[in-house]
Formats: sequence, C-alpha cells, structure tokens
Amino acid sequence: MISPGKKFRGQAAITDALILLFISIFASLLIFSFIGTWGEDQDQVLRSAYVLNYMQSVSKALYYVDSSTLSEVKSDDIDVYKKALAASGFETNNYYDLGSPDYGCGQLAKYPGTLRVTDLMKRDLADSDPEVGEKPTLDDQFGNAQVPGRTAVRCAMKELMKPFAFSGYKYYFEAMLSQDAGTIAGGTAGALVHYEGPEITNSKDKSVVGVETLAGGKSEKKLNGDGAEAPGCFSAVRNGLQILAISSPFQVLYSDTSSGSLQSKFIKYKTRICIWQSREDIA
Amino acid sequence: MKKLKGYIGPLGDDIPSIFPIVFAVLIFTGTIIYANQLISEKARQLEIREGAVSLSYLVTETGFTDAQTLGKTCKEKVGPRASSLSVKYLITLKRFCDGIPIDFKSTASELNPYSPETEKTSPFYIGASTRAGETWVSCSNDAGVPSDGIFEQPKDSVVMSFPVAVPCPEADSFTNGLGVVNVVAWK
Repeated sequence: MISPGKKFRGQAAITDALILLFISIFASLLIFSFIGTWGEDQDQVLRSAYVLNYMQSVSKALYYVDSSTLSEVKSDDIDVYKKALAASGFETNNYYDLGSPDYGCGQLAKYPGTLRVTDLMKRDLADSDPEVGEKPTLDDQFGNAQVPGRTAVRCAMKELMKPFAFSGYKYYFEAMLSQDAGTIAGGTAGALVHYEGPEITNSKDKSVVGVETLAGGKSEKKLNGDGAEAPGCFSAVRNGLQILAISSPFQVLYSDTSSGSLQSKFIKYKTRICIWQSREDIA
Repeated sequence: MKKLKGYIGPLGDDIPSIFPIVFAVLIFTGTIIYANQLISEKARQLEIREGAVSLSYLVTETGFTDAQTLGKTCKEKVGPRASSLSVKYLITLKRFCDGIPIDFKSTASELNPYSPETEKTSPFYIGASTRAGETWVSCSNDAGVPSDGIFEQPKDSVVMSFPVAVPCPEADSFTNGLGVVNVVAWK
C-alpha cells in the first residue's frame, strides 16, 4: 500500500523545481533592471559638474581676455549673430551683425592694450544709478559715447561657447543688480539689466529672448511685446526648460559730477550665464 | 505488492526536476556574474570621469594660464591628485588667438581657422609650439605619451575642454586672448 503523500511525490518535486526556475528568472530580471539604471544619477551629476565648470571657466575668462584680441570675430553667417529677431522672423539689421565694421567685433580693435571684456561691460553699465531710479541697460553706450561693452561680451561668448552652441545647447548671458531682489522695485525682474538691441545669446526662441520691435533700430527687449515679462534665464525656466546657471559678482564704479563735486560709489551687480538643451534648430 | 505504473523509485521520480533546478541555478549565477562585470565597468567609467572633473578643477582655478603656470600646476597639484585617484592624464594647452575651432578635422576656415594644420589643433597633439592653434604646453603622468606628435586616444578615456585666457597674439604678449585647456583622463 502506498500512502497518498508518496503517490504525488514526483509531481511535487518538479513543481518545486519549476517554481525555483520562475523565481530565478524573476530575480534575474530584477537584477538586469537594477544594473540598467545603476550609475545614471552619478553620471548625470558628473556631466552637470563638467558643464558648470565649463561655464565658470567662461565667466572667469571674461575677466582676463582683452577686448582687442576679439576684433577678428565674425558672425560666420549665423542668423543669431547677424540679424535681428523680429516677430516675423530674422531681419537684416546692422546693430546685430558681429561682422559689421561699425557695430560688430571689428570696433574692438580701437581698444588696444589690457582692456578686458568685463572692463568695457562695466563702462557700459556705469552711466546709470539704479538707486535713484535710473534703469541700467546694456546698450553699448556710456551716456552718449559709444562703448561696446555688450558687443565685447557678445563676441567673447560666441567664441567661448562654441563647443556647446554647436552641440545643440543655447545660452543666455545677463547682468543683474545683486541687491536682494525684494528691495528692488519689480522684484527679480526689476533687478535684471535690460538690453537695447542685441542680446548676448544664441537662442532664437522668442518666448525666451524676446523680439526686436523697432524696424532697423534697437529697442528694449521685451517678451510678448508688452513688457510684462523680461527675457532671459527666468523666461527659460518659465518655459519649462531645464537650465544650468552660474553667477559671478562684480562692481561698477558710478561717478556723478552733476552737483559740482565728484561723487562716486560702487554699485553691485552680478552676471549670470544659463545654458539649456534645445530643439529649436530641429523644429 | 502492487506495482504502480510510472513509479520508478524514490530518486527516479525526482530526476525530471533536476533539469529546471540546474537551469535556474545557471541563470541566476550567470546573471550575478554578468551584473558584477557590468557594474565594475560602469564604476570604472565613473571613476575616470570623476578623475577628469577633479583634475579639471585644478587647471581651471583661474581664468588665465600660460606655459609656466600650467607646468607648475601639473607638477604641484595635478600629478599628486591623479596619483591619489589612480588615473592617468594628459593635459594640453592651446592658444586659439584667431578663434576656437569647432571641428579639428575640418579644413573649412569657419570651422577650423587653423587649417590645414588640422592635426596640430587636436587635443591629443603633443608639442611645444608657440604658434596659435598648436599645442603650446602639455603634461602627463603616463610614460607612454610621446614627447611630440599625435597621441593615440586611449580606450575608455574621457576628454574635457575648458576655455582659458592665454597670451595673444604672441606667446609673450601682455594682452590675453582665447585659449583652451584639454584634460584627457583614463585608467
């Protein structure tokens, strides 16, 4: 007589073996799924570290590169370095052409010696006192005199950001008052230094960089044409773009002689460079 | 005693179950070994990348560098750091006073202003030339790196390039122009 337990012993053994096989396959799938994503976060962090170090190097280099050495930089027939971005698309405009003898990088040859790119940019900003309500602008002018601070930075950024610009990245360079944004009228947007004419960017996304509204001239850059929002890195964030940004502080010496005596003070600013991956050249 | 059909004994009944058991053990063991290899390879890649980032912080401490400064940095900072990270490195400094090339292999002037000297604009070109576009100064901790000419890119190496200000238009100028420092790391 064979007991019922012995009767089904063979079937029980193969069932156990099949269950072991299924568990083994399931565990293997879990392991493959784990190793497929293992290290991705670390890799992402290291890649971001490289991009940030690159941008910090760009920011540092601006303080050392002499403006006159950039006088041979050209637009290379690239629209964002040559034409104005209007609501209807790119339009020919001399103010925007880096190859223009009057407004392009060529004019930097007039500033020989050790005059850094940031020296010209500071001079460009030094004609207004934001503490008395004068809005600083990057417009290549110190009062009525032509001082190509914005153009110098634009020429330098075009060259320095080339490896990323040609890899589908877009950048935007902006200056802003570095006081607590809460103490500046208009908050963070109010702290931004506005552009009149070309911006320092290679983006042609109108919702990030705004448009030129003055035909043949240079107008203050505004989004949506109504000035409700300022163009720049914040606009990129508002548009859902994932940006990497670095900031660097600097001071501008503002001098005023209108009262008959010389009154000088330092005004604190900071530059910000942001970069993001873009598909605007593909779309 | 009644003989049951299909019953071949206490061990014989379990023989068919041996095959799925062996198969399961093989699958699981193979997966573990393969996973270990993949993770080791990924970890090695991350270590190399981390090494390159770490060394690059040292050579880009300031926005300006020249042959003498880079030589000193390599000797006093980069070498010891690379030893502690167990990575090999090659650092090349180039003066790109006429603009930064996009494609080192291109002969189009807008992509490479230094053509036809295309080979010499490569990050892997070793030399000591004061001409713009060529390698001005280099340093390495690998004895296999030649003293002149193209260095064949090592397998699994990481290349990082950073902009720096360098003397321009001449190597001994007081004015500074555009330059690039390349950091290559491998194990």
